Amino acid sequence: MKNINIKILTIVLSIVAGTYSCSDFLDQLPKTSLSPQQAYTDLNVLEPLVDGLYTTYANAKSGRAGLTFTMLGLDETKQGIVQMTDAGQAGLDNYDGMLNQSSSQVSEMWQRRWPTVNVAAQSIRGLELLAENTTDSTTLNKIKLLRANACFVRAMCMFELTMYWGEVPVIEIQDLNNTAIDMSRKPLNVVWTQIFDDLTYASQHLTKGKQTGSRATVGAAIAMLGKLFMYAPVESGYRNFDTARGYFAQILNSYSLEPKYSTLFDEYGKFEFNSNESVFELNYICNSQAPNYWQWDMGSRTLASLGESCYIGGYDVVLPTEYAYKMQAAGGVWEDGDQRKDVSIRTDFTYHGQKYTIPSWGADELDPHIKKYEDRRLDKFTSTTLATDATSGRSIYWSGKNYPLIRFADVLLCYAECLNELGNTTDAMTVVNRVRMRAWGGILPADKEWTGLSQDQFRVNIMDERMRELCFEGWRRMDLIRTGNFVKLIKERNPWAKAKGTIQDFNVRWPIPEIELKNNPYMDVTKDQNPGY
Amino acid sequence: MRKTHLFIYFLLLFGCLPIIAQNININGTVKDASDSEPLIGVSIIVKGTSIGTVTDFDGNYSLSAPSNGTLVFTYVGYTPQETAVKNRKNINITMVGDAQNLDEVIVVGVSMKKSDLTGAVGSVSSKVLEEKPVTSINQALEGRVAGVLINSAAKPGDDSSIKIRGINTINGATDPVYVVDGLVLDNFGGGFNSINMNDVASIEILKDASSTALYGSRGANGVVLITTKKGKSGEGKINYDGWVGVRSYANMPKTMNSKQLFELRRDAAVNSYKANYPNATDADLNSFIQNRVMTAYNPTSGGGGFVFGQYELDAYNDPNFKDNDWMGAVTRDGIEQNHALSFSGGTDKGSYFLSFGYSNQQGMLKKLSDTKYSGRINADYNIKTWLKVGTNTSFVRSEAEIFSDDGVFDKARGANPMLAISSDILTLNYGGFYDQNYFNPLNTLKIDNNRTRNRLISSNFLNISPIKGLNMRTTLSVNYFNESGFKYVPNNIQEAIRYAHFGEATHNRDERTMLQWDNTITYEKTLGLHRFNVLVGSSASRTDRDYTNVVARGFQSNIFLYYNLGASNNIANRSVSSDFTTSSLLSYFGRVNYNYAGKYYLTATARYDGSSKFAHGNQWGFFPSISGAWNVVEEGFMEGQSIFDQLKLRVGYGLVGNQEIDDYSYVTHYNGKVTQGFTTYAADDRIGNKNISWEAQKQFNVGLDMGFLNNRIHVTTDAFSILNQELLMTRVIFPSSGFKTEVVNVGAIENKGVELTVDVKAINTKDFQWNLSANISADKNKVTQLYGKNDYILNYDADRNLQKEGNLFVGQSRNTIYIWKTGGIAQESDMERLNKIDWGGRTVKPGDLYPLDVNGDNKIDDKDRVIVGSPDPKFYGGFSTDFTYKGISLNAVFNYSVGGKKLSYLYESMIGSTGKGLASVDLLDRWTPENTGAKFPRPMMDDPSDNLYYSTFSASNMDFSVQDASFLRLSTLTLAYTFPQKVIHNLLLSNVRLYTTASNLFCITPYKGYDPETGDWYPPTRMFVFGLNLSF
Repeated sequence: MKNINIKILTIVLSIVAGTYSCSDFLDQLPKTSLSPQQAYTDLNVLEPLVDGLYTTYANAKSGRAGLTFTMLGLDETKQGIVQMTDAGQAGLDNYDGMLNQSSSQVSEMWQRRWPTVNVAAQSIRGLELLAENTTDSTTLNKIKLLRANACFVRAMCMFELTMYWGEVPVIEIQDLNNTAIDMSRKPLNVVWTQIFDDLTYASQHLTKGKQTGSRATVGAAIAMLGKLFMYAPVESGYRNFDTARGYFAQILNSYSLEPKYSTLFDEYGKFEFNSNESVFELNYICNSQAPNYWQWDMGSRTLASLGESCYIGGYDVVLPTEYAYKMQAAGGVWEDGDQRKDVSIRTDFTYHGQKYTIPSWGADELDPHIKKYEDRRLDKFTSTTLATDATSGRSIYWSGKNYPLIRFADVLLCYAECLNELGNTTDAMTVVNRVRMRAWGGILPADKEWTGLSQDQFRVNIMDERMRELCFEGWRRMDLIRTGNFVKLIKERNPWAKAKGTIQDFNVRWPIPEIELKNNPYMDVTKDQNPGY
Repeated sequence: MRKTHLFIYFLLLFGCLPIIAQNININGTVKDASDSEPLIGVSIIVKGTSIGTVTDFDGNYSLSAPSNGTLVFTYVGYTPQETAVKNRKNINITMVGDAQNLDEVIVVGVSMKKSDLTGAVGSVSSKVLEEKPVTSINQALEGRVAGVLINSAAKPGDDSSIKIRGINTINGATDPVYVVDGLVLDNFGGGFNSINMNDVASIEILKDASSTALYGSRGANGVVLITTKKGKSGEGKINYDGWVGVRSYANMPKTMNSKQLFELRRDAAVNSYKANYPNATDADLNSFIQNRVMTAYNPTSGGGGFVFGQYELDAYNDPNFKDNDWMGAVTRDGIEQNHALSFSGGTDKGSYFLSFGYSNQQGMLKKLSDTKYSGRINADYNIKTWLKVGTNTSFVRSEAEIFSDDGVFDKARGANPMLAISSDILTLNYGGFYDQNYFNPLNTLKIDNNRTRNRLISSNFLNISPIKGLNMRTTLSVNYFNESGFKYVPNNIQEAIRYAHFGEATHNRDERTMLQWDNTITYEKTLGLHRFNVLVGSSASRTDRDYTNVVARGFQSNIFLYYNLGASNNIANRSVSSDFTTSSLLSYFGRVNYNYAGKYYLTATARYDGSSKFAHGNQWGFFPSISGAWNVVEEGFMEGQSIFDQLKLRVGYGLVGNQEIDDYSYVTHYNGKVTQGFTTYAADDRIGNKNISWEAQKQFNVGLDMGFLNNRIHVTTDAFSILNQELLMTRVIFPSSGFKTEVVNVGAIENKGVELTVDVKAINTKDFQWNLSANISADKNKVTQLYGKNDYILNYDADRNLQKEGNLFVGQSRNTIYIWKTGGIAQESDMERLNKIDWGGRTVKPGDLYPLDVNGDNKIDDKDRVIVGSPDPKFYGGFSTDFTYKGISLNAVFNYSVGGKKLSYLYESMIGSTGKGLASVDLLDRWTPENTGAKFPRPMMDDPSDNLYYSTFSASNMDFSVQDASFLRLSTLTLAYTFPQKVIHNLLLSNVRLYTTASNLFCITPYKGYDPETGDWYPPTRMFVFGLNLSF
């Protein structure tokens, strides 16, 4: 009995003490997602990860906090009356005290771009390390192609960040196991150098030819390099119109203008990746998977009250200013016969045979609205062959036409602007007339042709021409910033900013959000705020 | 028992007659020493003879015995007693419970004595549990234990929430864990609800660090220790308990009828016109009323008026119009029933307890029900003198119809009383305006949504006792849970049209298995007056969870419901998803209990815990605790004093860990997503943090137990201070990192409180007893530190609006209401002052409500917000009274809470109504130029049709609508009758009890929404129950 007891005692003691000594009992890793180790060290994983950058970049531009908010408070666009009851959001148009570091709208815009930058930076480092360990040329080419794509998307994000906020952190990862790097605000030159390097790499290694899917091609990188030398502030050391002109010139023969302006924004999205004019477009899908949601913010509430499946309904977050929708005679930007106006702007609120004239709430609900992104595929009256049914039904919420971020028309207008800045106004006008000719359906009336403008007159007129050609396509804020027209034109043409009269020079930049200043160990709450805020 | 009884009578009558002459007649009562309850069935034998008897139902006995003999009293679970007769004719005995049996609780893989728990522990016995016919433990605990705050479930089938000693975590759940016969059970999948109340023998609430120390990582929010019933040696017992109840709504705020609602809306429209056109002539106004108000809206052309639909004008003009009761169309009386049958028994070799349960709850809302089937076997057996094995195993299956959509109740409750009840209309409306989201609740009821749950909890032990005092125990437990959810949305209701799925079937299968293996060695030794109890042990557990979700859309007909996913035709919009997770915990622990002469108690515990939720290097945490108790009455200097029957001082200090964060939080996740036909990977919003480790709570507790007047008054009081540091918090991080959140160890919350429980046996005679019990708790928590440079963190919703709740401020409670203060209703005389203020886009004119410009900058913005209170009560608790007269007993349990503030979303919307939704009758007292002293502002249709754009502040913008959530509730009132033993004897029954209970008979509160406790999702309910207990 005693022996048995001792044996049992030994067994039980060893169970108590020894059973779980193998400590991997506690090591558990996720089974349905990748860890950083898995993500950045395997080429087969890095490929979908780099493709994911285009998705997150497109997501960053979707919805209200994406493209929409960047369009508020401009000379071209403003928010609707009912939207102005949100004091914080109203600050984006009022340029008053509500536009401050606690603005949740600004914070959201800032917040959206960094995840892409961060994953791109780590992917680039991961790809560099893979390249160091391989000699196989097929693999190397694949690595270069992926890296070029990561560089391109990072550059696109950084371009916007520095244009809107000035000095921003620059992420270059050296050690994938230690991503806690210096995240202080870097001088403009450092920021723009990274963008330049990224775009240069992209222009050398991206696929050639036309864009066929989400990934950008060489032309997009070159166009952006051209834009870089036009848009970068002088202090960055990168402003150079001749260099810019040189880049644009490289791709003048690679693309052509679509014969008809209207096909570019057809309401059934048939032109996605099919246009000869598309240099780079962001891929959206009009269902719950990858929508841009824009119609929800750009349509009219009066029509939205008919149900979400009325394709011209929405919530009036961003509307054209009077300047952007009126004829020149009435103090607006439009000239007679310009076909672009009807494609860009909705003035008629007839829906399914019924003409709506009484606003349901805000008095401006039936004023002219943005038409470019209307997505008829989600309308309830659209036949099933043309329609797209999202998992959650046909709704303007799921609107998802592709976004033509870089169009050849834009390249031409930028090119013309460079020529003008370089003193060659005559050739500049010829290029602009090429764009205008299409606007008048292929035959530009003599009185609409640009001739004999001085360099300064050209500078004024090109801003209007860019609005007519590119309105609501997201470049306006940057155009105002880079030309120094920001305060002047907004105060003149944006009704809210005009009424308040508080807009100042410092408003060309948005404030660095409080959430960043308070939580970033490399930033000081007061010293690192943009001046004026 | 019955047969023994008869047998003894038989002996008395026949076998023992010759001895009677030498005997005297003795009678007396046998009671329990701890609570003076009479003990039934105690056997009394004259020592050395076979003469004996048993006590009757009232604990009385009588027998003849030699005047110089000795009586031996024995009773299962009690220490036997002997007493010499010494010619006494009346011998009363109190028996002391045998600690080995009754006092035993299973902690983690070890059984220990309750009296060894030196920390703060609240107990509820099965007798107390019987007083309240409920189906869940949390409901049973309501108002019963100091320091335990229960929030009742809003609707049948939901869980009541339980919070022990306030808030001790910053953004995690405050749920404690249940430990059922040693198995650690959390509330996943309704775990707390899965225990059959009829199986529960006792509940202990472990509140402080020293009592929860053995649970280390799991005990941070307290531990609810549940011991299920065991068989007792002696004759087998059969027990039946059944009840049937009818539930109805207890409180519905008074709402306006059709006519009042119509006039409210008309006033709102007219006010809006007048405010926008102050210079309008009477003719203008009349024409506005004629053309835009009293003319019906034409839904086809969008023309006509914009205030009323034709049917509303018709209803208003019909003097005989009767309001339509949409609520009545979707509700019914909720019938509930519960039946439990158990069999138990045992010998000195072992015992068994078998039970079967059935319960059925019919919700008050149609198509809402829950049926449960349960079974249990608790058995143990001494295979050898040194080897004991046993199991505590239960199985529960629940089949429920759950809410197809919470909208059913809300939409029916808010439905327009002027609108005719019909399932032919797809959507409801006010004013004839089409709203695609205003689903007809009658059609929503056509959605099938069924859920089945199976849960097996089995805890199996093997105990070896090689020498006296040494126990080695190994316990293997499993907690297996699976749930299947099946839902079908028919293709012809508005939900299907609105979301264009044209019929949608969903299958959801979820499975979780927790395995737990505990090994312990205990050694107990008494050396003179010293008693030691030493324990070492280890515990390992692993939890695996997985789920699969499949949705199929597009059904030609509704015949298949959710049965045939393959019959769906919208193939592009089918969707599938799944997940698998595993987490594990490993612990080593040791404990020493020391007790000297029943005077001094000392308990020291140490635990070393490892968790898979942290990265290598940070997985382990060490959590020691120490506590002591001093039983003062046992001291020599207390001898001779007659004030205290009990005086015990307890002090404890300890460290408790917490690891309740999401699995894998220490690693950054890259998730695959298919958006454009191919897979891409993208990083999660949360960055992994390898540095996170255990959250630490430092708990200090001091307590005092006192008994007076022969233990007729018993007082327990505790004071505690908990400092929670290194809180595991999901913090917002700087966006340029590329991530939004990170789990970090930051911040601190302190929590202090006091608790007091008083039990009084006010009257304690043979026929009449009156017991009173009351408890009160007050605890206060304060955020003392947040992260980074933040002294506050504001809470914005997805639309970037600052929320009233969920904001955190250093120096304030974790729960606050942060809102504008009410200035009042503007009067003509205030306008000079008010006109100077920038209302931030809103307008304030006489009759409108306005917020106070707190900082005096003539501008209303977020800086004018203040903390107006906290939903945490200042103090709370419960009290109960229990009368027993012979077989009749009347028991009432009250619970109360004082000083909490609450937002009532229901009341806010009812007083903000402009007649286009449910409106409170309080709005009859609304501001007009004639009634300027009104309590409520003038209604204003903020609806700028016709340029009637006039935006006012609403009551919900400011503390005007913040409610005092104090209350006093008669939680249950039970009247029971226990049949006298004499009557039921002949029916071979040992106990028959009939009872009726009313729950929530009344609730006194200033709260204006549904209920101060359950909030505004569903109205509180009242239930009347009729029940029967039978024992053989």
